[in-house]
Amino acid sequence: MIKKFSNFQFFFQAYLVIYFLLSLIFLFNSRWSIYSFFLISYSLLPVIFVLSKSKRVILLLATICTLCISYAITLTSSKVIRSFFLPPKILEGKIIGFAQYYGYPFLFDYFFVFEIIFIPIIVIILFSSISKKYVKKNL
Amino acid sequence: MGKGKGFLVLIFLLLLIYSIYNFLFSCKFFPRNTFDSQLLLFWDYTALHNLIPNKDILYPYGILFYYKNVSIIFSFIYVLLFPTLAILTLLTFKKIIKNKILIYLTFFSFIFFILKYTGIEVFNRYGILLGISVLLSFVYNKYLYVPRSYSFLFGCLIGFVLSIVTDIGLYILSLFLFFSFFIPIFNNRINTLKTSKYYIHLAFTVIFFLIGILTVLLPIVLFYMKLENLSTYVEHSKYLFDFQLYSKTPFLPSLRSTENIFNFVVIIFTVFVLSYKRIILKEKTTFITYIQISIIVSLFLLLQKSVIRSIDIQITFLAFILYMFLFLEIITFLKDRINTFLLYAYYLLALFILFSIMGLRSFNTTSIYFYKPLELSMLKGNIQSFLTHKQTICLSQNLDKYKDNKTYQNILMFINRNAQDKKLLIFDYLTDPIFYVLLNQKSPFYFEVFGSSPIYAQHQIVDELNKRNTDFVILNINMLRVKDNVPDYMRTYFLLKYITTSFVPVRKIGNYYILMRHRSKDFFESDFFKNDVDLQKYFLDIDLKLIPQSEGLYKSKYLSGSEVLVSGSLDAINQYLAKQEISENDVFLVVNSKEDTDKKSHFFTLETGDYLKTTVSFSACSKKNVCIVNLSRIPIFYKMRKIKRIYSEGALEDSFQLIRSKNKIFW
Repeated sequence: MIKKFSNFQFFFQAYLVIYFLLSLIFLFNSRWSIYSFFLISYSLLPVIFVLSKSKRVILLLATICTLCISYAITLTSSKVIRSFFLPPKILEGKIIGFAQYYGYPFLFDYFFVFEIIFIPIIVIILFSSISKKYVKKNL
Repeated sequence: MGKGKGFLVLIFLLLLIYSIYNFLFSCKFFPRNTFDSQLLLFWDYTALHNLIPNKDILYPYGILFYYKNVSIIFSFIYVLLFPTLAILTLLTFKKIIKNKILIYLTFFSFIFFILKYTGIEVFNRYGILLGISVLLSFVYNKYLYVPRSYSFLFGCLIGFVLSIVTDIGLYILSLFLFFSFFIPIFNNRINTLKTSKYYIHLAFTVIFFLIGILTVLLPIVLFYMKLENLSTYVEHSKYLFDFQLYSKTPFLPSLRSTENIFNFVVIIFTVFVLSYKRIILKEKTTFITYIQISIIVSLFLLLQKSVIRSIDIQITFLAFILYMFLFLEIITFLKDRINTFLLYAYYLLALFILFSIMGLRSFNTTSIYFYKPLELSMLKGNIQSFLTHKQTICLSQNLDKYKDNKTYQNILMFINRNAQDKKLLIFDYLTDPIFYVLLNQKSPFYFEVFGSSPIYAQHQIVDELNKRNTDFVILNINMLRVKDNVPDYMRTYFLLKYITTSFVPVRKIGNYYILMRHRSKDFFESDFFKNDVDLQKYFLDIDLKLIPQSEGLYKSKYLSGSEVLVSGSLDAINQYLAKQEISENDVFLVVNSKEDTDKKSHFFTLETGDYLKTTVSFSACSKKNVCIVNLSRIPIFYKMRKIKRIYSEGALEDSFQLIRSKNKIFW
């Protein structure tokens, strides 16, 4: 146990030293670039460690993959989704703004933002109920 | 007093001193002549001259930010906001984080974030949401059923905020109601939704909450009665919904900004972690959960506020708190595995990432500088005279920039040269309110482009222009971006019709046209118009975009009772026009596409009896829906003219109708 602890501490120390050096390098090249993206991803390595210690790793991985696919589909097909919404009607106040002039549906943004925020909840609920059924079935 | 409380008081006092010093001895300097900076300077000017708050101050921004520089009471409330909200945030961190060093590291990095990216003024406004979120979280963490006294107190607090910062008041009202209704879901007591006790309690919560709001709103009612503006305030409350109609712009393009990516990624991660902990791990709801939920709801509400402009930069401080909480989750998990020093190092590096490589922008588009002479003048008079003196100096510092600009100089010279003995009244066509400040004139009630979109606003502007017998109109044709690329002939056709039938262009200075009142001359027949290519393009190249299609989609059923003057091909239409004069205001062109084609737009040229030509384009109609074009909305037909000919290159397969309809349903 003590050996395990000190191994982990050693690796974490090494991780931090590399993190520090990478950050110093950034100071000389501080524009937003692929390097910044790499550095942010590197800083999330402990997150991956924490997730890997979860009791239901497979469920977690499945949830994350489904989330990523859902977001990819939502973001790339936003124009298609938008075409299902009707353009705004000009009401009695005769108001013409961007939405009316360009036919941009009012509800589309609410739907889109709502979807982005609630996708994780829906996916987790789904996988949670599927995994419960799977456990029940195999008992 | 305990050591902890003493330290809290010390931090509060230090922040208060900073807030007072920053407020009293700094000027906001707007480096660029943008529409937004002109608007803010215009408000500073009207507040300084004790003019009653204009429409935009009544709704949605509230009287606190309008009067903060001229009234001691509002200045006092304003300077208290920053330290109060900061201390509430510190109390939150103290409740969540067990390690003392991490508490203060998080708190001071939060303060640094506010000063570097958000700015005190923006934090004072949107931070109220954070403050209320903290208070709600404290209460709901302690009580399953919130005591009625707390509901009443929340009502008083929210009513107070509603009366002085209207839009934020509405958001925190929504936040309170959201928690009241959904709390059984968050604290895993969904079974209470089946009990009558829950609904009785909910009813009492809402009743006591409303009593609290009404109790506090009474002083503000008296304030508006004193201003003799209460009826205007109440009357205009029914137009609140219109704000959404005329200022809605797409949210998706702003999603590409670094700040919105940061906001959204943090929200998504937080929602994921919260859902995982509650649904899969079945963990209890704790104080941090309530804070995270209320910040997510606040961010959700504020992101919807991104209508005219995105406020992504201004709300990153809320995402910052969620960001730090996510790293705290990791640290909590790792704390048994590594020593504390390494944890601090990781936490510091996480902060470093945020402050250096994320590339977040600062909202301080204005420079705030400390004006030395103000510190000395404080000694000479009382606080009120100091405030007035300070505001006058700050305003004139900003106006000097406009007075030094050649274009503005020339416009002012032209107006003043024509003035001779009397004061000439101007009307700025909704994009440069700074002219009212430079010429020391009162603006119409509706003076900016968005709020002037509804037809009632345009009617009111026209009434005011007639009453005042306004001499000049200043039109800036280079401000389409400010108007969301919606041209004036679409947005404010009634006002533009009045302008082009009562004024003629006399001078061009930079991008500005000065129009002079002249009832008998024809705007489009004037020599100035005929010789100015830009003005011709502005008024004769008409793009109706999706309006005809939208009118056809929703209102084609109203065509059935109308008089059909002629129908058939364009040739048939032109043959009719050659024989029969049409010069009324209620004539519509209805286009019916015979087949669905790849064509994206229709293009037509209309020629008048006095040989003026205008090109009109709009999005192509489908086979299923007609397009309806109201010819009187085209600028050249603002004044009655004979339609001589309509022609188009690509309209051979379509069928057309000219109809006459007096139905006011059409645009």
